[in-house]
Amino acid sequence: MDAESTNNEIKIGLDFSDSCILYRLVHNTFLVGGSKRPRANIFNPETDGLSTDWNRYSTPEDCLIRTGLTYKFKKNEFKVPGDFQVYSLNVGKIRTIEQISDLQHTPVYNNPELIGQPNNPSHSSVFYIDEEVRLKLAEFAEKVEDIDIDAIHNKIEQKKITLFAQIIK
Amino acid sequence: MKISEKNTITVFEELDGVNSYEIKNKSLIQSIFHIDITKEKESREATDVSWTTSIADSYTAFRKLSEDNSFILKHLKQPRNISINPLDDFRASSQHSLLEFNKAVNESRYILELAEGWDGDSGQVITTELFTKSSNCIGCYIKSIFLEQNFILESPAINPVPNGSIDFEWRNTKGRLLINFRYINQEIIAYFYGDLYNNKLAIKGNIPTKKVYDHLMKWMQNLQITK
Repeated sequence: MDAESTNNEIKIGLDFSDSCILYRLVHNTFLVGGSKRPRANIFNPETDGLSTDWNRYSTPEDCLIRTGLTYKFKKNEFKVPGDFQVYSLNVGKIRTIEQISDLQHTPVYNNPELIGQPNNPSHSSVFYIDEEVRLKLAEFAEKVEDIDIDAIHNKIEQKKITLFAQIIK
Repeated sequence: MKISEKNTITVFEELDGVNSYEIKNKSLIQSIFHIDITKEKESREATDVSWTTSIADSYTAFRKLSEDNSFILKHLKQPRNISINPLDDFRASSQHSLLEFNKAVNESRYILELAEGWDGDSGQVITTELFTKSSNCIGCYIKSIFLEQNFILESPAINPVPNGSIDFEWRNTKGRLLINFRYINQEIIAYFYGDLYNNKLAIKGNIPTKKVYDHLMKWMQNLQITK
């Protein structure tokens, strides 16, 4: 599935079906000790909800490509995709958690696209404030395997060239 | 590592013909005899001491440790000529219940080294106060469970959370429990949720960390794996 790149092609507020998948990027720091089993601390929501990517508009590879085009916190250097793992959450399972108050499609779009803050047509937010939710989400998350990290790096470099070329123009 | 005050060993001398002693340290949850010695000297731990033997044998082993290292003897505040009361075996074994947990805590100290942005985003630093007080709190619950039910609760996974809080998480075939420690108006509060899966026998709430609350302590006993 190719990610759509313009806001005009995205319909805001589409319903998520139970078969939809949300991808959650997890930094390797969360997996200290070689643990592949996700823990509840991975699902601490940000102030504007738990940040995920909707599989309607994104593949796991797309998630990592965007990561490689995103600046590190308070720095002008790009994140390293190899420092992250991708976990999937099934929307149908998420819906069994009563304390989740909302799930919204919240795409990120800037025109022109900002260096270090790539557009994300798939961005979606899960809203809750609860230890119960974090514990149960950890139960549902599954790690996405077999991602071609080399192909991702190539695409990131190509995208960077395009972005910087636009600036020069 | 340096000898820290909390690892001080206090040995009381014989009083009024009653044989007794008390060995503790200031944090009250560290393993008895757990002494960290400066890098220039050999480091030894209480796990060298077998707790399946009587406390008298344990103290004998400790004495040998201290004789080999006069540095340790400097921390003994009282004369060492005392007898051992067999009743103290029980008190000693309650400290033994914390050996595995203390090991888990030590292995989690990397959390204190995490810099801002550790999660690949805006992850906040975990304070030493939060780490220490939350670990102490959980240690008290584990010890209380042991004193009440005579079993040692398995150690939790101890994980940092990007908002600067700490998770203590249990997950086994019986059930699951998450206790998150965070600052609320400058006070450390523990928020928790647990169940035996499928929302069975669920418990949820929040508590201060200054004492052991019976309802949570008793619920935690549900996580015991019976053989």
